[in-house]
Amino acid sequence: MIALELLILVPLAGVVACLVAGRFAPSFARVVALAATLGFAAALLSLAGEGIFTGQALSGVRVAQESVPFWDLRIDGLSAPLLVLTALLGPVAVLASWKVEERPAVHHALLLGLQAALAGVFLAADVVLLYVFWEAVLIPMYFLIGVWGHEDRRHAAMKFFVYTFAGSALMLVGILMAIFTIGATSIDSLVAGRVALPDPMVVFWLLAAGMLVKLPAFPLHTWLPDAHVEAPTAGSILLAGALLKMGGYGLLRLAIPIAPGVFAEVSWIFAVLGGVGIVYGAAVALVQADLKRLVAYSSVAHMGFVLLALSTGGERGFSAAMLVMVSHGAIAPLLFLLVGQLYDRAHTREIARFGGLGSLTPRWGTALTFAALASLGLPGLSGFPGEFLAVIEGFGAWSWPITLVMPGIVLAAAYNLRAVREVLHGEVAGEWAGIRDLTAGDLIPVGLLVAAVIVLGVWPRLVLAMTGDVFAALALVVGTGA
Amino acid sequence: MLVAFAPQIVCVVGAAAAVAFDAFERRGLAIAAAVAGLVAGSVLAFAGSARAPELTGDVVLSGTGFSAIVGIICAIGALVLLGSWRPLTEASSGGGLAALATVSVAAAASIAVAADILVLLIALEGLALCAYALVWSARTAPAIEAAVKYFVQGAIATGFFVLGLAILFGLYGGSTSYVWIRGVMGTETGSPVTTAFVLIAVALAYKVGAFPFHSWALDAFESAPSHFAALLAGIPKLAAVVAMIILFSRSVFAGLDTTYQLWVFGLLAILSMAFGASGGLLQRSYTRMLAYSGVAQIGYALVGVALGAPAMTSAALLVTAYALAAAGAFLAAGAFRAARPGWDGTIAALAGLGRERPMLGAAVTVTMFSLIGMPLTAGFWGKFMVFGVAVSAGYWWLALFGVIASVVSFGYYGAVLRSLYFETPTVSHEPGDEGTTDRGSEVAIATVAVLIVAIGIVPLVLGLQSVLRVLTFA
Repeated sequence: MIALELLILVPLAGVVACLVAGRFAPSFARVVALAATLGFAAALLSLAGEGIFTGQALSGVRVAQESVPFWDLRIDGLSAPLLVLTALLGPVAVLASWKVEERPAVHHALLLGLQAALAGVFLAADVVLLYVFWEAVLIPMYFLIGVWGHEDRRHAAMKFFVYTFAGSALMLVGILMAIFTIGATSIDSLVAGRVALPDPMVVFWLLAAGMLVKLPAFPLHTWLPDAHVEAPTAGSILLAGALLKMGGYGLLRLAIPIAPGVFAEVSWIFAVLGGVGIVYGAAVALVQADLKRLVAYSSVAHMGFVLLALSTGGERGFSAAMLVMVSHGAIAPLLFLLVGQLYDRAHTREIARFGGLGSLTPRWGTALTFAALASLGLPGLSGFPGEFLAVIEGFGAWSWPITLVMPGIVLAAAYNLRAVREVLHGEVAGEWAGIRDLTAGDLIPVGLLVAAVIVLGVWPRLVLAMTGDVFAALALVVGTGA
Repeated sequence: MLVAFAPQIVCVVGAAAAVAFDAFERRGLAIAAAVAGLVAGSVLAFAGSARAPELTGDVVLSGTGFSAIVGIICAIGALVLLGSWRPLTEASSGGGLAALATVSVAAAASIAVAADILVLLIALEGLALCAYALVWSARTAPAIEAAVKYFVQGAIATGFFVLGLAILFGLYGGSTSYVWIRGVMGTETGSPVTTAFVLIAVALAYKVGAFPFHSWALDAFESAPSHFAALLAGIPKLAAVVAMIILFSRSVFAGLDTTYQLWVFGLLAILSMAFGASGGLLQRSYTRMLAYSGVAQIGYALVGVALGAPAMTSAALLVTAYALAAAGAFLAAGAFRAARPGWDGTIAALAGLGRERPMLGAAVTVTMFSLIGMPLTAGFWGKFMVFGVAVSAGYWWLALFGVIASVVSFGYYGAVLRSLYFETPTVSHEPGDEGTTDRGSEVAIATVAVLIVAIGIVPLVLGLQSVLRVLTFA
């Protein structure tokens, strides 16, 4: 067995190796970065024998058994799917930014740092460690957006940082209240000792504030479109694919278990926020002129399904939320990757300027059509099982008001198909006559994500096998409201 | 008693040697002597921190955290002086200034461990007199004005302090030691006691530059030579916060109802955080921004003072982290000026400097993140502990105010990062106007950054006790 620490140390070693390699040749740094992300994936896969992909929990090696309050790592059914996602997105992000010319070594080092921090978030079994990694994620992302982003990158980077930092600052007060009243910092002890919380309502909302900003839930989402549009492709991939998942993960890991009674009481607010997010995100996506902004708003809609599914408080609801998160973690990066590839060639993302690209760039066109179909929830692809289950469960929990989110589902089809129609079909816009299609190198990351979308679509049990026990236990706690 | 003051005495001996060397125009030797004095003082103090706490002659505290604070103050002082090597060797009386700086550090170290109000007053005045001169030493019109303002306001603060001292001495005369006054005062909490409390609290609030007694600090730290601002922004705050908790919560005024401390310092804390954070947002000048942010930072520390004895270790950690980061941030101003001789002092004109000077940029980034209170830096643990004590005492709104001020602070600390990395330089370098590298200050800033990250990361693996053990005051 290898230590869980490796999942953090491998990318961190990659950061150093990447910076050193960059002193010799930029291309060397790319290879090192790719190797580090593959090393991360290999380290995770090597744990398969321990049963982490069937829902077994696995603890890290503690440096000293008693005197170490913070450093405590663990994989369980809740974190395993998101770690797999992080492992998948690592190589995709590196390959997507293979052609970055501006100081590639630093760029890739930041990507690896981001991967290490994300792994830390999903691995932490201690709330202080969780918070440290939660905040650490901001640092590489801030520089990725601010230095390698597009025109309005400075503003977007500041907005991203301030919004999410504000959320996590509130979360910090909630964490402090929990650890100083209960007198422990491990998440298990906090959850076990939750009756000691004097004011669980305040603690829950302080914690949830940080997570809802990250998710992001309507109306706390306004940082997201800016950050997504301005971020470089690799940044968008990790932002949409893994960073947003921290919100749902945090709710399931900390906020809900520590105050299940409060959650049961206020879950209708989650349902409302989720429902509004679904319809609002889809409606706003429909009217976007910028292809990347369209994808960004579609994330708001998809994350609405996560909230809606969570609000049901049942085992199947939690499973649906996880399915949506993992599925969106493959589809959104695919869309951002494709948009990024288009931008590299056309230097614009304005939907109106495109047309007939399907015949000029058939490979890219096929991939975009596939991604759009996955995004609108076509059965057989990964978007379907989670969102379908979310609506079914939502109907079970909240009955007829759930029909109000139906327009969101129709709109999802509308904005995705509109993008396909306007960009791929119709008259060929003359200015793009010489545009190049995807090369074999471009197709590798696309292929990885397409495969993930198909596998999850036909075999969602892959995820449910990991999460089953955790969610059954959590649903029981929420159900009894203790 | 001499033994208990040994670290400070060694520092002063170093300073005296520096003056002697300076008289023979041997500036390098003079600075080396000053640094040697500070390093020796620091080593002596840390060696003493292994002993149990001790009150010598009812005048000075030593042992455990009391000695450690002296050691930390001397060590930061030594680091800053090393970082000021180039400007000091270039200044006409650089050795003398180094001696003055060393004496100010020794005085600050005495503030932190004083156990007699008269000793506290003398140490405060010793520090202030050195500080006026150090600010003045820039010899520009704004610096001279700032020094005079600092002097006048400092004199008023001293007046408040002496009035408070007079009340206490008049009521409980015989001795001015904390133990004596506390013993005679007993449980008395009449209006003379509370009046003395308020007078001395105001005097110390002046000295640390808390709102609304801050206006000298803004000008002084902006226009002082940046390497002296590096010394004066953090170290005196570190000393004064420790002294305040000893004075107000552990000795003389410990008999008062704790709501006095909570209201007086809680109010000062909130006002300082609000004023410093919002004022910082409006600044264009790098050093003036740091001066405003210093007001916000003392606000966080005063949360600890408001909570009193239980927060002493936490508050000491917070101000230690601030003193380190402030030293790095102000020294960076000197390094920036060396790198870009035409720098007009604004944050905007730092555009692209982080890319031109990767090591300097990275070190400044670390200090900024520490000042914000981001995890993986020393600044995080300071805020984590102080706000944690606030929450556990039931004042979670005080912590909430603190974290909101931290978020706002990203507006101005983040502006520095934005300028360093996101902007492209607007001014083209003219030939012959190439910047130089101030090796000394860059090494000092890098050392600060390494220390900040080490204090930020070590507790994750070895537990927070690994850091707090040093700052235990019992």
